[in-house]
Amino acid sequence: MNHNEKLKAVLLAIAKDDGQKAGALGLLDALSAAAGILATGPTGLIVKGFLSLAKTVSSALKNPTEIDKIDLNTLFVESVDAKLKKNGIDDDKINSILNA
Amino acid sequence: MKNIKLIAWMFIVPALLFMVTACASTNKAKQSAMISQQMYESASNTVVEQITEIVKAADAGTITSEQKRTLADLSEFKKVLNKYAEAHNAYVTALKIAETSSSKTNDVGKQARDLAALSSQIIDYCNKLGIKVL
Repeated sequence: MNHNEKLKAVLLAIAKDDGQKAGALGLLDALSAAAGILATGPTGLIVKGFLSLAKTVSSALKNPTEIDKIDLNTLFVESVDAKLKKNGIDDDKINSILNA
Repeated sequence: MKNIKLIAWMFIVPALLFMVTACASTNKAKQSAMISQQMYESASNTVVEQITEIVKAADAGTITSEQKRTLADLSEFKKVLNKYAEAHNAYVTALKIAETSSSKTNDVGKQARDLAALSSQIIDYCNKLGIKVL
């Protein structure tokens, strides 16, 4: 079983059973350690992404009092299709390019 | 491909954080929703930028075969992202109900588990493309 498959197995187990949360915590630690290793390597965007991610997560978790002030209405997201539509792109356009 | 690798990473870690914290308390569930939103925005914006760039190249008649292959991958990936957006919004809606309702609800936990299952699909997609997520 490769690493992606192990991740998938854990994710599916969690999806089925809340009791697997402890296992997820262990996996999260492993991922954090792996992130540390990657961050020291010449992996460009991945390093940049993780630094950004770490900052975001750290900021969110260290300021619980700020969380109360967040309006849930601001947490909704827009689909990728909706974002593309603003650029004048839809599935028909993409498919016409792919089928050309 | 590096951007797609980055997107894969950005989904896996917050998805796990999401699942670990989602059922703990409303505050932590809200934190998780905030992180999920930020990661989704970052990933989806990257996909939108790349697709837009390739479509412009196609319109200009300068699209390469590699760009065409990337567009096909991005087109498939965007379907997963669209589902994620839908699941995320359902989770936030469940949180809103939980916050305003005096009666307890299991919807927050259910939506969190739905997102966990969706994260699994993202890993499937990464496998399909040969993207190593760790």
